[in-house]
Amino acid sequence: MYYNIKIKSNGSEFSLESNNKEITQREMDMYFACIFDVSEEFKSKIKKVEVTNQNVKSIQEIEKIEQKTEIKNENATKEQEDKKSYFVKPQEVFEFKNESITKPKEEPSQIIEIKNEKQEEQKPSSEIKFQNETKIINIKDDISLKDLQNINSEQPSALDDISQLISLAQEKIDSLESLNKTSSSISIKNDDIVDINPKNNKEQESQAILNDIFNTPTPKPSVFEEIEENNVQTPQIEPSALNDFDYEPDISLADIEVSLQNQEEITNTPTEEIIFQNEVSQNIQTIQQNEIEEIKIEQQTKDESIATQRISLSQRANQVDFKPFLSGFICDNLSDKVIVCAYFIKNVLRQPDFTMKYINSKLFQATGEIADLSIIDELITKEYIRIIDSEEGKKYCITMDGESYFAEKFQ
Amino acid sequence: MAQYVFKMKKGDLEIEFSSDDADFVEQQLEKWREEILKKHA
Repeated sequence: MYYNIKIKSNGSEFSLESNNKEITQREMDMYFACIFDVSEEFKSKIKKVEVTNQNVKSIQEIEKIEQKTEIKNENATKEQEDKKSYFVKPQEVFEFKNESITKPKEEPSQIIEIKNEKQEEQKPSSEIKFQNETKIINIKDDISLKDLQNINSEQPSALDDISQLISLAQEKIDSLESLNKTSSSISIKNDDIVDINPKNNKEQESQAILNDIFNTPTPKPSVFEEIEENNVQTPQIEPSALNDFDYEPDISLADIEVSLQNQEEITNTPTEEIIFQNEVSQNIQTIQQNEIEEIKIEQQTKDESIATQRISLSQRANQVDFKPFLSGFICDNLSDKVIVCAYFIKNVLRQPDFTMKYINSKLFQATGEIADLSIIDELITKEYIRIIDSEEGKKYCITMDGESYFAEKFQ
Repeated sequence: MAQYVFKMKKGDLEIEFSSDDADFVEQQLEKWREEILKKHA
């Protein structure tokens, strides 16, 4: 079975030869539908058909071309412009082409719109922020009333309160300055009163009282001369000053106490400060030296006590004899005697370990016997005695099991 | 072996269909004939 299709158009020829019935049927249906413009139902069965001027192409070739054109949209648009549809093309083909053509045109337009929207959104916001910042900076920098009044014309509701607050603050500052002036004048008045009216009995008495209390010398005449030259006070305020002094003598004394103490602290010269620092450092050094000496003495006492303890132990070891200790226990064999001797060395003589020579000397003095290594090894295997390796040589000591054995057997 | 050849023309376009499958040719011609009749009915 063979199937052959030939399509001719303006001299060009397309032929399709195959043995597949279904393929040829599909191809023939498509070409038939395109040529004779058959019903929509028949055309709906057709997927893609396209014929150019020069060549009539099959479906597979057209699909390959379309895949290429999808990758290269620009070339595809040019090719589509050159193409002419001799057949009545199905709707699906046109729809696909329309989408492929419109999409690249629509995307940049959307991007442009988005960019425009962003620019339109950002610009006014940035401008507003900048305006707000500039306004705040202006308000912070320009604190004077003139500028506030100029701004007040633009924003009267908010700046009225600020101007009122500033006026109140200025009034308070003025009142404080006036109070400071009056207080300073009072303190100077007293001196001036002494100077101008030296014959006033009350003033003399108060000055004498002050001198007696604080043991301060009378003011020197040079100070009064300087005050007179500067003309700090006018003589018109003298009566009021006298009245103030008469009414509040106790309060003034208290203030003077505080002021004098502060003056003494403040009026230290640099040399005095250096001397004071040196004295402090010397005191600290002496304290440290004393502490170090005390620590040394404590250490010496401790060392002496340790030495005395050692001497007492050695004396005790020499003095205490193992024979009477051993006589209190009934021992059947030499290994038990060795355990008793080891217990004696540890708990009576307070020596942590012993050598073979030492324990044999004790045993020989008490019993006239000497322990061999076999007995020691037997006790080591029973874990009554353990070996201690030291630089001086091999030493031994009784274990907890050995002590418990001693306690169970002999007590 | 039989060979069936059909040519259809419309303007400059020409389609030639040839096959040795008599049943297939018959079915295709019948289908095309019906479609042409529906179009012009």
